[in-house]
Amino acid sequence: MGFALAVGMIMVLITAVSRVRFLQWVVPFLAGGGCLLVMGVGVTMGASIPVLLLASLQTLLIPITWTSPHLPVHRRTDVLALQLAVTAGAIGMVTAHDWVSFFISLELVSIISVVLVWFGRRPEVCIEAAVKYFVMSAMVTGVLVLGMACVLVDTGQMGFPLVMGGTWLSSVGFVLVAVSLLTKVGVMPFHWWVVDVYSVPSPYIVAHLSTIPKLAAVVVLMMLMGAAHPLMMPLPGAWVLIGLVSALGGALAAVVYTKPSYVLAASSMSQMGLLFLLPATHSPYMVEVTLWGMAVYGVTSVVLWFVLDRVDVPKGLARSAPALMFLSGLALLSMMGIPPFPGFLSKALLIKELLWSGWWVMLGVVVSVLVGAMAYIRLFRTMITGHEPPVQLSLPTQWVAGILLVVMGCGTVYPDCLMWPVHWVSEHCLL
Amino acid sequence: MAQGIAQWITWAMLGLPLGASLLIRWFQTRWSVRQAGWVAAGAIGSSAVLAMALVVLVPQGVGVPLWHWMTLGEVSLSWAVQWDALSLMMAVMVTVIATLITVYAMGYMAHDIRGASFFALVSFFVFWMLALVSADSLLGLFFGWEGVGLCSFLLIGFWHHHPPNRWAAIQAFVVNRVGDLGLWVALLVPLAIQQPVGWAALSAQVASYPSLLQWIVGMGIILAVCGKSAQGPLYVWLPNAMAGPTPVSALIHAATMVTAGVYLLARTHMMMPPGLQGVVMGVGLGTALLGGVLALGQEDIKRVLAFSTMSQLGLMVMACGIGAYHAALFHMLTHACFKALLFLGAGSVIHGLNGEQSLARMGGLRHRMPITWVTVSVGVLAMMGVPPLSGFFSKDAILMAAWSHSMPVFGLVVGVSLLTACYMVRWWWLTFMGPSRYDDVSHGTPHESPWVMTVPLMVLAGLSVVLGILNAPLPSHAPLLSSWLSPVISELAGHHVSVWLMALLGVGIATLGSGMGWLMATRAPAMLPGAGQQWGIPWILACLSAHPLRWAGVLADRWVDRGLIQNSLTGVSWGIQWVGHRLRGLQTGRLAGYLVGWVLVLMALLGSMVMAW
Amino acid sequence: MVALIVGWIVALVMAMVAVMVLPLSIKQAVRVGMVVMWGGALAMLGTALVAPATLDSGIMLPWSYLFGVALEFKVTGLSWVLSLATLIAGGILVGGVTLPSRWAVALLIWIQLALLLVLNAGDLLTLFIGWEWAMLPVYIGLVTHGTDKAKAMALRMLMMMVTGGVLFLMALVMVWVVSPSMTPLSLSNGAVLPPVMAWIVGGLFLVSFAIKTPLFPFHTWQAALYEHCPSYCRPLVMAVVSKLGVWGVLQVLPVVTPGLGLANAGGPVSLLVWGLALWVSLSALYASVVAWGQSTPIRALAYMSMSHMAVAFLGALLGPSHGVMVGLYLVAHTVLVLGLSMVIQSQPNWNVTGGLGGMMGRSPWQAWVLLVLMLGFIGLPGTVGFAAELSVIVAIFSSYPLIIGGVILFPVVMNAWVGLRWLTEMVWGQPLIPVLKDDVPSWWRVALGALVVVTLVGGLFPWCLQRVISVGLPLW
Repeated sequence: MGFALAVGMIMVLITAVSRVRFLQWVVPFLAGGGCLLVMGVGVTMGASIPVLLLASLQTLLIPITWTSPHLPVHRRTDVLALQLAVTAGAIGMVTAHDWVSFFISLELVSIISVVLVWFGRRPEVCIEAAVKYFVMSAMVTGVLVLGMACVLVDTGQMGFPLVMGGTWLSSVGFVLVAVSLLTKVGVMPFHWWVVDVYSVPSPYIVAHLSTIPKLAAVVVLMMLMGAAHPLMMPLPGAWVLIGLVSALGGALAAVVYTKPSYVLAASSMSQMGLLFLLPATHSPYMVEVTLWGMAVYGVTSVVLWFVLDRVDVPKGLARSAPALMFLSGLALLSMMGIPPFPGFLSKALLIKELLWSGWWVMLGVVVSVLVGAMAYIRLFRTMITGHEPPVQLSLPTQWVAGILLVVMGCGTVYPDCLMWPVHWVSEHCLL
Repeated sequence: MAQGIAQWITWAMLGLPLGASLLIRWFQTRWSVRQAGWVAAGAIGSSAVLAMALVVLVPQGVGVPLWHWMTLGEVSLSWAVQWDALSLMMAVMVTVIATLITVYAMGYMAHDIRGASFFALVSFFVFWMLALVSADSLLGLFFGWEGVGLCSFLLIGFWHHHPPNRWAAIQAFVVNRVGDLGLWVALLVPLAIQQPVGWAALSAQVASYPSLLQWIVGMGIILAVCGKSAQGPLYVWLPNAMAGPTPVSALIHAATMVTAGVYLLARTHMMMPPGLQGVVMGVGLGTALLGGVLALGQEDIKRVLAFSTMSQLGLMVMACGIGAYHAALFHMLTHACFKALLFLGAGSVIHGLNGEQSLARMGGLRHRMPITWVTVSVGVLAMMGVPPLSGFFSKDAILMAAWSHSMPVFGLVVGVSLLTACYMVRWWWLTFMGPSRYDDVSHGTPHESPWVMTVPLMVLAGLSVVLGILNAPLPSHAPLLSSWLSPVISELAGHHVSVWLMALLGVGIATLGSGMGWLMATRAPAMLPGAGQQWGIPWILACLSAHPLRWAGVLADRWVDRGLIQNSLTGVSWGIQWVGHRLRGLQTGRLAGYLVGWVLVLMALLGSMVMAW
Repeated sequence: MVALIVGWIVALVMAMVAVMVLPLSIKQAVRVGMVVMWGGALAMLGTALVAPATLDSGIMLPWSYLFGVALEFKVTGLSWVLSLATLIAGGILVGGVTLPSRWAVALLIWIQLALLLVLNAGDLLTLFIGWEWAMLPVYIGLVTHGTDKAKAMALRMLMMMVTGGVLFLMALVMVWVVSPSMTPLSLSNGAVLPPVMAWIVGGLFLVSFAIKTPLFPFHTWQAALYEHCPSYCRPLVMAVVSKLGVWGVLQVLPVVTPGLGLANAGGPVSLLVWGLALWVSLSALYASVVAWGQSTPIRALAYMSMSHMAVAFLGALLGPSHGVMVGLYLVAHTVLVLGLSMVIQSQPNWNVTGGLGGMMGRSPWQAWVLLVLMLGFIGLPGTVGFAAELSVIVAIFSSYPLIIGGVILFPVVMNAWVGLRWLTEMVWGQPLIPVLKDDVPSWWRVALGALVVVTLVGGLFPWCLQRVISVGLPLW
């Protein structure tokens, strides 16, 4: 929780600094530097990988947000601060040891995310999306509280997620908590808000929304599945079925959408479904493989949303902005699972872990990967066909693209660097 | 020393025609037809001289290794040449006939703008034919076998601007390829069991193969013979091969390439199981009869000779089938001379009549083309087996062997001889005798061919007269050719009948046949209706083989590939899109619907929990 | 040699990125492509001449310590020959074909890169990387530079490849579970798959390779791809990419599933192997028959190639002892198809029914080249095609039941028929659509002439090729 507080402090600091006009330019460096500091301290103090991952992703998102052409200059600090608040909440979620702190962190994430959804070029549509997200979040909160109450009444324990003892009431409670988290993650059939919310705000907002809160929710789900495992037993097949439905359904939906933001929204459902299969099947290395999968998903999502943020229409990107095309090509190929991009290792490890889960699981995974590939290929094709006039990228955009290229390149050539710090290898080696 | 000389001669023999071919090809745009012709004739003629020199220098035979080819498992395959009586006989025959035909072609092709290219191909063919006959293994023979097939394809389609010629060329190659499958099998069997494929090794080891494999090899050889020598159902390409220039018909489709099948039978006699000898005999005899009958009904001057060739080859194959290898080879030698003579004579007539090939528009040419008439007449007499021409001796040898084998076979061979005399006299009479039926306006005034065309005719006529001495049954000693061939191949058939009786019989057959032929020519030229189209035999065979394959290819492409498979894939894609659209339809944008859906799913989940308990 | 190849792969990556991202003109991009391809070819040739012992070498590059994954490269005589052919083909195409944009150069380099990875892979992961990469640039070329029909079939083609890739991935992961190094060598030496798993993995690999080869019924993508492929990469795709399926079988299958070599072992295993052999041989037969029904020479060539590759597939199933024979077949086919595709696609109106004909009058030199190459393709003795065909068919005859051998021989006739039909149609006669006399650049003649020389020398002295190919074979 200390790290969550630290990020919160960074938020407060940049808000304060931004009041001084001639220090505006310091804000992104302060935010980025602060996040890097958190990561550095985390490494030396033995923070968990999810914390480090969240901090890393936030570090990547700062320049993307700050340099977005769709963000008015006077709103920059506000949005950045809000994003940092969400990140703080997310870190709080993954480091919570009791229900109360978990709930507060989750609410922080939800409420501020609702506000972030509001930021877009068409305010009337954004408000509608924000309202939908708010109402869905409210439902989620209600169910979550109900679930917490069930566990509390049954066991009398505030500890999270580890619970000793428990009866059917705790099972129901954990199921309700899991459903609320699944809704947050955007897994089918709890996905209803995803497409509407992802397609409306500006892409730099969605880059944040689609990564930070999701990663936190997935981590918590993993902890629940692991820690409360005996209590989740009544529904082992159902969780696997949900994972498969999401993986396949998301891919199928992605195939028929034509707008890139819709395609990415649907594909995120598919990706989350695939990752959810790991905790659902209680595979031996679910933690490591899920975290790796989230890291890869996070980076590739950020890259794609960044590209969508800089070009209004990605059609003909190969001619209008070859550098961005190259970057998005790397990300799309990674999502398709083409080696040696990071997404390939993610899929390979996923299949390796699910190998003994049953032939129908494997069949579902294979079909969803294939159908998902169709969707990415169509997006890829949109980008490489068409004759659009060249677009001059601003210097900050070029810098950010360069940073992302380096990250993707390093992840391709040396995948270990995406799971930094390296000294965790000895403790979390997958062999 | 003999080995060293033989090596040099071998390289020269093979290298001269190949070199001439490449040289002519290189300079074809700069050389005239005559120049190219002399180069080709010179090279081939030199090879003929060298072949005869080898006969004198190494009559007992010699082997000449060339180079290592490749290794297949335990078997090392090399190129080498084996000169023995059989291969030397073939080499001399091929090169001498080819030289004469090349000289002839200088006149025949004089006005063809691609005449130089023609001689390059002829030289190339002679190279492959020499490679075929001199090979020391089945593999080396196969190289030459396919090489001559290629040259046949290129030469039949020489005048490729006419689509029927192209089709004829393809047909020749493909039908030969069907036959070549047999040779593939004969080659693959020993290689597959890691046995060498040299003649010496094969003759030593084939008997030790399992009987099934022996039969497979034997059937393969028979199939190959049928393809190359136009036997059995695979004869269909030969009549259409007449689409090529007449020198090609004379060289390849009468005298040399088509005899490769007979050569193969002789060379592989040790590989033929006894049970298959009867098949060989039957195929040969059947083809001989069919060819003879069909020749009677042809109206084209060259097609008569084509069917005649088919019939005579059938006789040779039949002779091999009854073990009369020497008789078959002797007849092959004499047949090469007088059949080449007949074809060249036909070419001279065609040349003199400005391209006319129909017998119905010839006649009375003996006065206009006396040299052609005289030489061709010699050829016809030799063909009929009139003594003392070469054909008499060679055909008699076959008759004697047939008599020794069995009466039914003898009877059928007599029938073939009768047919031979019949159609040859008909052909000769319609072409040269009787009233003139040509038209001065369209044909111009028929004229004798130039000396470059008539001299080869005279030489061939001379050979047709004297060549019989080679294997004539002389009182003082054994026939020359048989004595020479005996170390290489034994004559298995007996000749237990009086020579004079056979001679008398041969004369009688020739006389009777001539009379019948004259009657047909003068009274009933179109006696066999439908024979011109071979009674639909090629069409029937095509319906059983080529047409079904062609249709299968078209239909498989249309119905299976583009229909079934492509549509299945399209169906899968459509299915995916359909489901995707249904899922997309759930995103109505209405919050109330989302909430209801979410709650329903939650209820379902909780309900399943309850059910599980 | 392996260090050179790995280094050259890196150089190709850099060249590809440079051409994609930097604002180069087409000429500049072509220069980059020529340097990197011809330079690679010359370097490989020079190294082989100077240090022939390095033709059999390997190297391991660690990729991820966290996941215990490394990339292994292994060069053998066969991979060297095919890699050299790839680079030379690429060099000819990048300089000889009219390129629509600098992206075409990048795509060509990409294909080269993928092929070098596949051909010199020492483990399944490296093989898989190249495998997946091989078709992507072709797809991009189809959608950016192809006709409308090309765009329509591009996705279908790619989805088939991706399907094969996913099956490959599943099999690879199963092997990974047993053998972390993922090399066939480790599997053959000690890390043996349990029997049932071996057959499942074998089946997955088999289908994956069957899609790539392709075999019936996974073959419909090939003819359409060859027909609509952009001309700057068509020869490369037809000549080298088409070999990947058989290459995969040669490298992987008999090691993973040793039972495939037990055609005469008896029992259910033997029946399965016979069934498999029958399927492959019937694919060869089917392809040779369907080749007749095609409307363009490229499509006919596609089906004839399918027939040939099915024969090679059958030979490769026999295991490492026949690797040299199958390798010779692959090399021969590469040379012949490269030349044939180059000649055919350079003819005007080649894809218009009735548009061909009269090559002998228009361009006699190309006509003769086409004749020699086509005759080699149909297996005329004296050409490398015959030597290769003989060696593989002998292996098939000696290992499989006679009926399989008999079925395999049928395409020998059919392919000759189809090949000759198109040969006469292209070379002889008069074209229905009048065309101007074409000019063949001198260096294009040199390239084609070199292919003819290889065809004939390989046919007369195939032992030379055998000697080179046998270096480093069998692979384990």
